Amino acid sequence: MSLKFGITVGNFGNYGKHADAPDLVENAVHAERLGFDSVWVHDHLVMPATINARYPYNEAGVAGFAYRQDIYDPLSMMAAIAVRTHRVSIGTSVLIVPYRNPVIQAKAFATIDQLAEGRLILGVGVGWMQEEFEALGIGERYPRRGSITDEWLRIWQAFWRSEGPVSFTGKFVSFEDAEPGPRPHTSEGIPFWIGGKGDVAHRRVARIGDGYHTISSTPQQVREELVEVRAELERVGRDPDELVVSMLGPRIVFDGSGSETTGVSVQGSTQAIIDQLGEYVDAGMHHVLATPSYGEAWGEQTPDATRDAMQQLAEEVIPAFRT
Amino acid sequence: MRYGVSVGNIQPLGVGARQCVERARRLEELGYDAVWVHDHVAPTRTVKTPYPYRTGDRVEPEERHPRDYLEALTMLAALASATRRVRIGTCVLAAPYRHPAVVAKMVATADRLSRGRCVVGIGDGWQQEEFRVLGIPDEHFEQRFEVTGDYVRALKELWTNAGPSNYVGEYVEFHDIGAYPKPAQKPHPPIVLTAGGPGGFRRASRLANGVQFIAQSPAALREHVDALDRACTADRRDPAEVEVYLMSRVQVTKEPVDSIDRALLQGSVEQIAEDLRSYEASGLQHLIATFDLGVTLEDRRWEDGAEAFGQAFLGRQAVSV
Repeated sequence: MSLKFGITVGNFGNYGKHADAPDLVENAVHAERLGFDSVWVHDHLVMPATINARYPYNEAGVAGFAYRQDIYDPLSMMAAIAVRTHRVSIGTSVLIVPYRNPVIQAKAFATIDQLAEGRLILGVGVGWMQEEFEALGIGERYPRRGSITDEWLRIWQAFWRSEGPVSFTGKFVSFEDAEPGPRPHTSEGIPFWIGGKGDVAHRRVARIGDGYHTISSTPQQVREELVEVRAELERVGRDPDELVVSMLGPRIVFDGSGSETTGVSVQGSTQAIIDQLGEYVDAGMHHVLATPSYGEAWGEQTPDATRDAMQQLAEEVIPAFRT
Repeated sequence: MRYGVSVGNIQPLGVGARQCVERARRLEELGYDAVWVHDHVAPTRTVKTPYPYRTGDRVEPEERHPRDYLEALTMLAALASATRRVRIGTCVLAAPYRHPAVVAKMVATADRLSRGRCVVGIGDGWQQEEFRVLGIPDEHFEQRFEVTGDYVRALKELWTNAGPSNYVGEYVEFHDIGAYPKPAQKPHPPIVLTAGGPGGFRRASRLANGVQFIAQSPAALREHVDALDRACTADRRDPAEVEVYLMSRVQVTKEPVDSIDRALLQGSVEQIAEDLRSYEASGLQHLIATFDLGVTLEDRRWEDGAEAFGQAFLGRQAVSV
């Protein structure tokens, strides 16, 4: 069985006051040393005190975010991690594409990819939190966030692939004669792993995705999503087998007791965890962002405990998927 | 006087981001006090807006060479993570280019990564072509001085309000948003504003912890510093709270340069030492040196300049302390 493993470094306030930004970089360094394949950051820019928009990724529709969460900037964290690591992939899960200026983003990601010598992966999403769009002064873009995302990704590719000055005419922005540099580390550019669920996301995968990046699905749900995603790829004449299939989750909880936690998680004995992850492999999964823990509550975990759990995952579970 | 150097993140093509990081590490080893990044994003190949910081006979080349514009705030974080002692700063961030929430989060993150070593130099921007590439409305270019003041006030709100932040300005407005993490430095990292006239000095007196000048002679700097001090006094602010920065090209030569042809901070160690004494007498506290960039990895002009200046002046300062 073959499965790649990534961890989220915890830039979403995961540790409450138990960690500062350098500790998150150390999580990434630790993950590289332990043999993980990738390290990941999340993205929000501001956190509205009141959120009425529906969170799309759980049944309650409530994200449970607090405005005081220390959400470290994902671009800054990736740049910081890039200069302290050498092997692991560094990615966003997911970048909310419409929030930042498209031209500045093109330059920033090429900069980070150079710092990382080609290890950057952009998991991308369109966003869902209307209040955050409004706080950023782009409330009018919220209903058109999907088209904006498509346009921004095309702008980035225009900058990354161009030999000379870039001119662009889009539905939302147009410009002429802009200097293209810097370029990403390699001529292949930076891969896009398309986040989100549903028809629109699946079509975006077919249009522009190097990967599909789902979130918190069960093995059965992964199987169902992939039927649709593969059909979309075939519809545009792409080989579905070239697609990287990845997921934010499942959470891995080493508690040995099998007690219930919320969200999609795998838990129990080492063998039970291996068996449950095996179901994901059977469903077509290639790469999981499976940050392990001992079941502490949000904000109560410490980086030391995370690293212990990472070591246990690396020693007891990952070897079963390296064949 | 404190000495910093631009790592040259606006690079001749192909030199690259890793090289800038190595430069910062070397500057720290050599004993410099600070490392700096510039902020240009995507200028056009042809720039018609006149460069406003021209001095003497030195003229910006009309025809620009293609360069890599390594992004300022991602580089700031990389340098924060790659160094342990030096200050890391922007010289200068063009305020109108990014929403204040973007700047607030990236600077706060870099400040936390560096455990409180960031300095935020902020200017208005000057290149209309680049504003247009970034899709910024023409009126924001025309009113860039006011936009910058507005954005700096918004930044302070985001950095300092522990409750949900609120700001209603002329150009930016937000209500009840959390902006965390806060910077490591309290109340916020030093803000260093560019200024060239009475309005700029007044703005600096009200909003800034420092003022950054570009390529001014010691005599011109003295006049500016006096004007800045007057602006502070009028606002009942202690002028000592607003520190004086100067960004200037520095070129160390083996032989003395004939005084007729000599640019500021160009020449033998003795000539530059004389200039530095004049600057110090004019009130300069922080020099941001730019060295000529090489055009290939093998071209060591930047490295040679940083080494020569560091050996001449950082060693000397250490002896006198």
